[in-house]
Amino acid sequence: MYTKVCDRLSYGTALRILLAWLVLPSTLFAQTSNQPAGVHTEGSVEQLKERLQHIEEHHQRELTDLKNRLRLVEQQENSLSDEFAQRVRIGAYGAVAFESFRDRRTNYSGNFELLLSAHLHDRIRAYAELDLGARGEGVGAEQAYVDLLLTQAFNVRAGVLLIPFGKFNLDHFDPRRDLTRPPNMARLVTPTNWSDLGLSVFGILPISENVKATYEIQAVNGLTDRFIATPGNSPDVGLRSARSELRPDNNGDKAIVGRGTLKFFDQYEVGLSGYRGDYKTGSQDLITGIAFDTEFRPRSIPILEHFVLRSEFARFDIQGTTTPSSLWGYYMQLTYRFWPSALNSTVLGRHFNNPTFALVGLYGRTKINTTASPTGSQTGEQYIIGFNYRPVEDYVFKMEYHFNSGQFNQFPSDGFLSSIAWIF
Amino acid sequence: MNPSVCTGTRWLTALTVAFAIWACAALAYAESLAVIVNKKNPITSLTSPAVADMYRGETLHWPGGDRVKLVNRESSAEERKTFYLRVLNAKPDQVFYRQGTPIPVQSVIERSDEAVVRFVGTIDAAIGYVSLTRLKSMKDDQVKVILIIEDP
Repeated sequence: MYTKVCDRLSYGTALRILLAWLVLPSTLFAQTSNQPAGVHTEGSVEQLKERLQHIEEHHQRELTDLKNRLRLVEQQENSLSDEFAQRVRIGAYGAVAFESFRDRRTNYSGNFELLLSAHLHDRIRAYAELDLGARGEGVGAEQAYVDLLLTQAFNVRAGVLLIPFGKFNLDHFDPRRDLTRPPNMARLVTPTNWSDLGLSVFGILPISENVKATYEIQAVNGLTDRFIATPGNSPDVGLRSARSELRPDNNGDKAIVGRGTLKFFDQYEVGLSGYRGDYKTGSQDLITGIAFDTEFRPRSIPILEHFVLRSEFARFDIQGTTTPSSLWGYYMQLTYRFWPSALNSTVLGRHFNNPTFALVGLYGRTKINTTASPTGSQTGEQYIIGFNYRPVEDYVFKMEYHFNSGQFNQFPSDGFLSSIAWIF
Repeated sequence: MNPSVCTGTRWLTALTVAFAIWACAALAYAESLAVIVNKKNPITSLTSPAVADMYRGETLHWPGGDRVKLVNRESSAEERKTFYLRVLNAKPDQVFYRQGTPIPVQSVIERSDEAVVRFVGTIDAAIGYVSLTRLKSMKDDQVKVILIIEDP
């Protein structure tokens, strides 16, 4: 009996163990992820939704972040470009001229000049005027300087400077002038366009409410002796060849040149200029010069407000040479601006706000005392009658006829000149 | 009634009406101008020639040292015509150049009095001019008047 009981027990135990062996692995190693239904599945969807929401929020934050950064970069770029536009200006002016003189072939000539102006700081500004060599003479700087603006009365300028001798040299820009050619005085006596390397001080001194004085004094390398004919050097008439052309100083002594003006009511200006400097290598011989200029530009005075009267006288005396020993000249120019309202509806007027015509008359006389001439001097006289049309301030079409007489080879006969000049 | 007396009365009436129209038109244009600066600018007043020097490019900085930023109106604006005539003694399209260069004196062009006030109110070193009447109606506290150019 005992054996039977034992047999039953062991048989039952064996059966239980077998059942457990069959069931436990499937319980222990069951993979829940693939189970399709029940409470576990609903919980996963919620989790997924939450996760999705987190991801969306995260992306939204990133997107907002990126947008903010983009806006910031755009603002910086805009402010940089605004600042650049405020601080730097690039422009140019140019002219093309056609000339037909009786004793020579007709010719086109022209020039193109690049203008750069920049404010490095509220009180430091730079300016450059680069001749791009349309005359075939290569690129050259007519002006390239930097200003240190200290006070209205005292400022410092350094670089390639326009020489303040007479008004014409300072105001030589083709689109602003009413005639194509400078007067003979400004070519033979004052060697326009005249610039040199050096340092200057300048300023404005208010005298009263309606009167103010201006001044500019420069120390520059100065004129050289290249105006004297030597073997291998055939200079132009006058002092044009004496310009240093930005070469190193030939004598080490700096020339001093300056101009002072008085301006009344901002309509009338009188100027006085002076020049003094050695010009030879190893010699103390001097070139001294003096110039006097006036400009009357009446405003708000009936009839007279249409007129501008300019005049200038310049003289140079040269030590140590007789070819030439002195030279002087003057010119007077009267401009009358007008516009017939009948032309407002024509092609000349209807597209523009304030077109103008100008009638210009100029008389000039020049004399060079030189032993190179059998008579001891050369003289020249010129009359110019011109007409120009300005549809806008920055574009001008000029026509003029020159009546020349005298002994200067450059201007021996009469002739017609026409030009178009512009600036932007 | 005598026909000649009747004709004379008509002429008188017509002349009176014409004068009234002309006077109204003249008054409409002859408005006082206010020269304004930013309220942070320590300047309290300027003379007309001092303002003119700025617009001619001869005065470049405020006494405090900041560079003057000029605000102009377009050349067809009545304010500009009055300002140029009365202050600069020039026509509204007159261009002023930096001495020794062909570069015009720079200024910001705004197309309305509101825009001028907004600009001057935003930029510390700016100076501009607006119609005094318009300025009063705007009641802007970011700008102050340093010069009034009375109508003639």
